[in-house]
Amino acid sequence: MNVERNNNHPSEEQWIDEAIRGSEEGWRELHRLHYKGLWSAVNQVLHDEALSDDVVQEAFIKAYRQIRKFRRDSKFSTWIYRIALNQAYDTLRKISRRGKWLGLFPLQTGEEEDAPEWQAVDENDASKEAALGDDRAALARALDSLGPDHRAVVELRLIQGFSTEETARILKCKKGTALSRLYYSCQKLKKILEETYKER
Amino acid sequence: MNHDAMEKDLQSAEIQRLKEELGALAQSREPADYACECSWTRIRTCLLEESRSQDIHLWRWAAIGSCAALVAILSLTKSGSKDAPFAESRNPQIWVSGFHSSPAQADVVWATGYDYLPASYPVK
Repeated sequence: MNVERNNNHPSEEQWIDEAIRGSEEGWRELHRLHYKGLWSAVNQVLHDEALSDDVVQEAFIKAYRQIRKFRRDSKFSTWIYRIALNQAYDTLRKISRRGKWLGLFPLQTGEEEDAPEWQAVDENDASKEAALGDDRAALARALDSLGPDHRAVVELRLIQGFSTEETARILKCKKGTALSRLYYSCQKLKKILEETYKER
Repeated sequence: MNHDAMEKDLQSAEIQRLKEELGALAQSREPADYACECSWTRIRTCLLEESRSQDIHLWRWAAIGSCAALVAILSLTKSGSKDAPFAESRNPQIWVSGFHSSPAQADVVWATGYDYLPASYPVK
């Protein structure tokens, strides 16, 4: 590896140069830097942990194929988040199309067969909520009640700290659209949280 | 509410508190380090395969390019030798009479089987 080291820590720019040259170490570092954030953003859209793993993997492969097209007029993070969220929305559309088709041919299953599966899901959610604590569980429920587009804006703007312009660019929408989604989401989150606190 | 006001609202103390709570929630939900390692292992395998298939792809295009260049050179050489100093003769008399010329007298030697005459040859 021939990355110039500044204070023994190469910058992201240098890892990007390495990745463009096809260095495995470059890609490893970029993955280490962005995996968790990408996964969280994708999971906000899909709400499926296993599927989010697959989508992030696909996003990295796509980025690898297209890295030479990456112009440095935006940040690498904006570029790769855009790829990953595009992929996530494509997956969401596929799921919704498949759901429509499957809805036409409902499976004939007995109640006994269905019960353990539903029970397992509920128990899983309950244990997750118990682990989170009441306040955080309420916030998680409030966040989950938003649609995928709104959750994605909240994740990118409020959690990951992208600017409104970057958020809009990642989600391929206008700045105004991103802002209105964010405003609506914040109002809804605040309202749900206020109601939760009042109930106590 | 206009966009500037919305952007300003994001700086309010209430939203900052919400931001902190969301950040803490996100941290509790984010994948563990071992998940990151597992993901990298899978991605690395895919990238290696991708790199190999890209190499094969390059070789394939190089081979296709070479073949195309060879075909182009061959066709140019062939058509060049046919066209250069000759003009097609449409005079049946010349062909029927089986024109022959001795190499010493003629500009061009008649080759049996070719119905072409040199462009410079005065056809009557």
